[in-house]
Amino acid sequence: MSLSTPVEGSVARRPYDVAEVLAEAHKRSVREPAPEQARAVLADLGGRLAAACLGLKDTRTLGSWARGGPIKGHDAEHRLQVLFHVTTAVAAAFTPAVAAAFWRGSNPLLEGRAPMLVLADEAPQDVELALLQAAEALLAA
Amino acid sequence: MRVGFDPGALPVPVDGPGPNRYDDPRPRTLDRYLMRYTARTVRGSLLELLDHLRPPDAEAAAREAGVEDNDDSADQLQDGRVPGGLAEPWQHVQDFLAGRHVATLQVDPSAWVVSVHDPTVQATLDAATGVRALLDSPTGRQALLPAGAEPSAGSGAGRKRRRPGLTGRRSGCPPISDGR
Repeated sequence: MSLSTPVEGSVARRPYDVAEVLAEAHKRSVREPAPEQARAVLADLGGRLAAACLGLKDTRTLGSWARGGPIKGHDAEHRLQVLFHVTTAVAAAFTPAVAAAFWRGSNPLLEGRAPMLVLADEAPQDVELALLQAAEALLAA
Repeated sequence: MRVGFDPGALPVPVDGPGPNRYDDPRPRTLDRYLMRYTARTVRGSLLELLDHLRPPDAEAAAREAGVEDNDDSADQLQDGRVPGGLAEPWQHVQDFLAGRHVATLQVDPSAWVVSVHDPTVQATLDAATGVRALLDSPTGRQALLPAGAEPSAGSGAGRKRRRPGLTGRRSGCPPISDGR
C-alpha cells in the first residue's frame, strides 16, 4: 500500500481499545477491596514477583493481605493499588506473562529502570503517573 | 517495514502528546499530524516494538530472587493457571506479538520527503516560535546538554547546543540503521 493514500478515517485495528482497558482497570482499582487486589496480583504475577514489586521481603505478607489481613501504612496500600491497576490493564490487553515482563524489564520511559524497582523504591504517589504512562505506551505499541 | 495489528493503517489519534520522538506535541490543534514509524528491516521493527519489553533488569531479577517464598496462598489462587511471573521466558514475546502482521510500506515517489537531518530544515525548525520557546526553556536547555551534564551558571542563549536524539550529521541524508 502507499503511505500517500491512507483511507480516510482508517485507524489501526487492535483487539482491544487502549482507553477502555485503562479506564476499566482504573475503575476496578478504586472499587475492589485490597484483599481482592492482593489475590489478583498473586494469581497474575505469582507471589515472588508481586511481593518484589511491592517492596516486600517475603510472600507471607502479601498472602496475609489476600486473606484480609491488615496493611500497615498508606503507601503500602497505594502501592498495591498501582500494582493491581497496571497489572490488570496489561493482562487484559495481553496476558499475565506480558504483565510480568513489563514489571521486570528496564523501561525506556522510566530512564531505563524496571517498573518493579520504581514502584518498590519510590513513594507511590510520586511514580503512579509515570508507571501508568509506561503501561499505556506498551498497550499502544 | 512495519509490524502491527494493522500495519498499514494510521495510528489512533490520542488526546495528548505522544511518547515517541517525532510525535506531534500539539494534540489539540487543528493542524495536527499523525506519525507512523517504520523500519528498514523486520528486525528493526521488532526491536522498536519490543523495546517496551526489554529483558529482565539485573537489579530487578536480584530483588525478586531475594524475596523469601514462605506462603502458599498463590498456589491456592491459581486454579491451575501458571502466573505470569512463572511463565516460560519466551511466553510474553509470543503473547505480545500474537495477532500482529508484517507489512512493507512504500512512499509515493511524488510525495514530499522532509529529512530532520537536513541543515535547512533544522534552521527553519530552530526559528519556529514554538521550537524556539522550548529551546530557550530550562527544560529544553537541560535536554540539550550531554547525558549526565549539569547546567552551569550563566549557560544561556549564546552557548553551543546539542540536538537531542540527532547524530550531528549535517548532510541531507539520514543515517542508515535497522531502527526507525
